[in-house]
Amino acid sequence: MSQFHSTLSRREFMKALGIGAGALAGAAAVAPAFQDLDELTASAKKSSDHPWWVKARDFGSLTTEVDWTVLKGHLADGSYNDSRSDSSASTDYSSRVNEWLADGRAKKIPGRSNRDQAAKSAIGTPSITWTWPMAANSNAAQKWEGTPEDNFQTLRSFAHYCGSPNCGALVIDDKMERFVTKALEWGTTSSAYEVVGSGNSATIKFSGNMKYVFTATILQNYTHKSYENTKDDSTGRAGFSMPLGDVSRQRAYADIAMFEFWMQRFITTLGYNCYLQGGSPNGSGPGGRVNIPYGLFSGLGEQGRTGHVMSPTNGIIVRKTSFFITDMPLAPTPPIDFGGTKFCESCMRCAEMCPSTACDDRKKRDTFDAPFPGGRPGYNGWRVHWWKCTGIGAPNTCGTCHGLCPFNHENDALIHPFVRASAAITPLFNGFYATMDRFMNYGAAKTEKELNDWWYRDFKSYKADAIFGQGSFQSML
Amino acid sequence: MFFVGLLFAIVLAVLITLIIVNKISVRWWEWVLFAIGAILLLFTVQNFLSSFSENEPIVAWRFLLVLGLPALIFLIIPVLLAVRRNSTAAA
Ligand code: SF4
Ligand code: SF4
Repeated sequence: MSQFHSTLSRREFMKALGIGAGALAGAAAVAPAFQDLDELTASAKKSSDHPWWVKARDFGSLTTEVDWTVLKGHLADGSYNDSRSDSSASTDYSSRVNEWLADGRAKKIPGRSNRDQAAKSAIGTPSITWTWPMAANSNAAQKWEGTPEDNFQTLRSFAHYCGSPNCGALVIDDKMERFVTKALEWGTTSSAYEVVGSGNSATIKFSGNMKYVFTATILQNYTHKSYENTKDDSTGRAGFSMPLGDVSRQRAYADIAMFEFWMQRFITTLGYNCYLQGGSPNGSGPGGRVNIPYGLFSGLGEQGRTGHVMSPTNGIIVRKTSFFITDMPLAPTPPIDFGGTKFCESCMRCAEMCPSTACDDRKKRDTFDAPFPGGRPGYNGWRVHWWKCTGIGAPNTCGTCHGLCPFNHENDALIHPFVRASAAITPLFNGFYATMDRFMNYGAAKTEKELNDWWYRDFKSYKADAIFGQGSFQSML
Repeated sequence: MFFVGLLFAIVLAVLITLIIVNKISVRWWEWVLFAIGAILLLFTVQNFLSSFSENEPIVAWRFLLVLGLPALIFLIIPVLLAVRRNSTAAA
């Protein structure tokens, strides 16, 4: 398994901490030219592939209020992420997890036996030679040129083929610039991009034309993730993460890697430069760029209680918003409102089961300050108590919150679109829906029999395996 | 769900034929209650079957309790009312 995998997993997970990260990246003087932004936004009110009940908002306006005079991309000490954690809790928790896993191996306990743990460690991200900024194909005869709308549709269509259910686009301005690290600067070079320095101190300078961002949702397998749920009867909260179900997180990161690899090559082959977020210019170095705000501002979801992008159709089982910075003109997509953050006020499904009590349990969002360590001030939203969360070794030892959202459910049963549409229209029944979600047994821990039965599941009726080449056709009735 | 729909249509057709042939009087609100019950029953069956395909068997059975029970009540009440009134009228 590549080193990249584990680094990315943790980094991406850490982004859930807050809406913003990265650097202010220079001053207004280096901002790109945006004279055509108004034209673009006016022409592209069309949103992504959301259902009819999802409302488009004005560009730049989220259901999470932002105070742009306060919000910065980096923390007070200038760092991108707060990597501190409650280490005393961590040591104790991980030794108990290790004992529990060893017990599972020794006694062949379903869900954590050798084969379950092997499945988790086998699914890794293939080693890929990454090229973070990639030059456009210089063969003019192969260039694709379309309107910004058609370009977006072209990328969206290819992205769907590669596995993303929904995509968006935005244009970098002085606000969106705040969500990347100091390593990225716009308007400071005349070439499309220029890599300066190496390693941790490397920076990438972009021309003003590299201002389009293509965003894409990548999901984690929700059905399979339900095999991760456990319950600690002594606390009433989630217990240790069951390895069999945690395979789905590992798989999602492998999917992300392949997806990003393909997308970046597609964009450059079409004749445009493309910077793939996530790594440094030289293969190691400054690393992470935040993905959640770009998902929110390009209308892929609202911000849920856990800080993640919450999609109207897939809840917080969104593993990542992949994003690509390019000079391919793209029509932006607006932020959305599907009653999601409003629903969170009455729900608490994620917070009530969080084993470390890190997940924000304030009923309503009531401050633009960061009430917990490691958070960023500047937006009125929920936040995770970061030190507590990483203190128990998350994401490797916990991902409970991701799997419990009522918006995660598959859409086979008609009740789900019914609840989603109704919550978008009125918040009146939100509390009732959340109570019913508990009563109906969604998100419950699997029994040992169910965990064991996964290995003997009926392939014809089990719909959650992603079969290469099958699309969404049924295998055989 | 195709076969569920087919079965439902056959049962409904038989029921209406019986009502017409036997000249059973049915009040408008009895039709309304019955229609609500029938829609609820279809909704129950759809959610019941689909919950299995969502890999949620316990949820499936709970749908029978939460939606199926009210569906049956809505279906039975107008039938009982109609039967009682018609048998009283016949007597
Ligand atoms: S449920 Fe787990 S991953 Fe989520 S906030 Fe709590 S500790 Fe962190
Ligand atoms: S589980 Fe409930 S509170 Fe948590 S993000 Fe989903 S809707 Fe919001």
